[in-house]
Amino acid sequence: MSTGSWAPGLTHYLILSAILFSIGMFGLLTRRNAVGILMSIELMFNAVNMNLVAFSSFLTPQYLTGQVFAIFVVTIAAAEAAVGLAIVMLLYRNFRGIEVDKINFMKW
Amino acid sequence: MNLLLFYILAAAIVVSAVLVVTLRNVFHSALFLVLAFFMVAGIYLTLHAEFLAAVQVLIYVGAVTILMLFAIMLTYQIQSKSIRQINEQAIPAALIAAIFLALAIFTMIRTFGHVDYPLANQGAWTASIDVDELPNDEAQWNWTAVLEDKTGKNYLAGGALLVLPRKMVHIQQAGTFTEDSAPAGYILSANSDFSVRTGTFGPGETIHLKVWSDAVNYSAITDATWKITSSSDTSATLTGSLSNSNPEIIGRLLMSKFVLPFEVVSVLLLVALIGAIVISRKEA
Repeated sequence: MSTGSWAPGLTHYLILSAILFSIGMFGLLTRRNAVGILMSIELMFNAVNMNLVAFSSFLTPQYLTGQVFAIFVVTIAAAEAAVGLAIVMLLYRNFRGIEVDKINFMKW
Repeated sequence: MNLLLFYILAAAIVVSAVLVVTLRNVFHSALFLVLAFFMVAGIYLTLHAEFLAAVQVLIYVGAVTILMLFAIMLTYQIQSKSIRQINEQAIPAALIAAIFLALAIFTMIRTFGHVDYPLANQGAWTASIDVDELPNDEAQWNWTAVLEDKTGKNYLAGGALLVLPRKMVHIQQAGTFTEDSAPAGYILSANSDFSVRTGTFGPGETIHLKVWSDAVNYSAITDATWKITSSSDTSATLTGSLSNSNPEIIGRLLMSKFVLPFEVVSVLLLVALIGAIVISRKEA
């Protein structure tokens, strides 16, 4: 290809996904709201997927294994969101709130 | 141009992701999550992962965030913005995330920074042979594909087939691109597998030949001539076409190589569905 240095390289994608993963990690550690925590986890899933697709496209473009793995990750993320949000509904019903620092009945 | 597009998408992703984790109003967070997911779909497009980009929009934007918006609206009083959203660990959390980021970037640049991987042109020229059209005797056949691009440069790929009695075709050998510009590799694909596969094909089956190379710019290819020739003087010309259908290839992979994980994940989805219903249903 004649695009030369005007095409993003593998490290561009890796660094972008590392930044996205770190932002998700920050949200995971700081959010008090259970739905906010789930949203941060989704951000981290997206960062991982971006890594898988970038590796697949740059290192082994003839096999789309990385993309198939990314599809499996999307499936797992959807299942996780469904179960996670069901738990959030249950918490809200029992505690009238979904702030995770108030839900500490399993601590002793 | 590509780089500019990448930076625009990357900036949008980073900004909306930061807003997702810092905004006080969770509802607005979820809306910025939608934006971030859309931009990640754009990143997938720049990586030639068209199917995954569509899946991203359908599942993440269409299903996951809508589910989250529902959960927020069912559990949360949007009016009460006075509730503190960030706990007291913000500074240590930021420190941990920053240290992780620094380590990850350091490792990635050390591992991949010095190598310039090109983003391959994804596409391949394919041709099909009906096993029934091949002669009914034992003979060695060679197939070639000549791709010609706009500048008149030719790329030649080739391999061998062995036709056995009773019309069994055995793909014997996978060839390589030769000619002109130092080509990197190629793939011969037969039937359901995208990777190199040699095997035997019976009557009524169709063999799909596929050539692929890093060195070929598929958008510049204007013509492809496929030919199979036997050790005697018979020869046949095949019609070929350009195929770079990303969903087709992923579909083939999911139905062949990854069929077991595919089924397992479908069971997992069913279990998650039942689990979500059981957990969230009101007790009688």
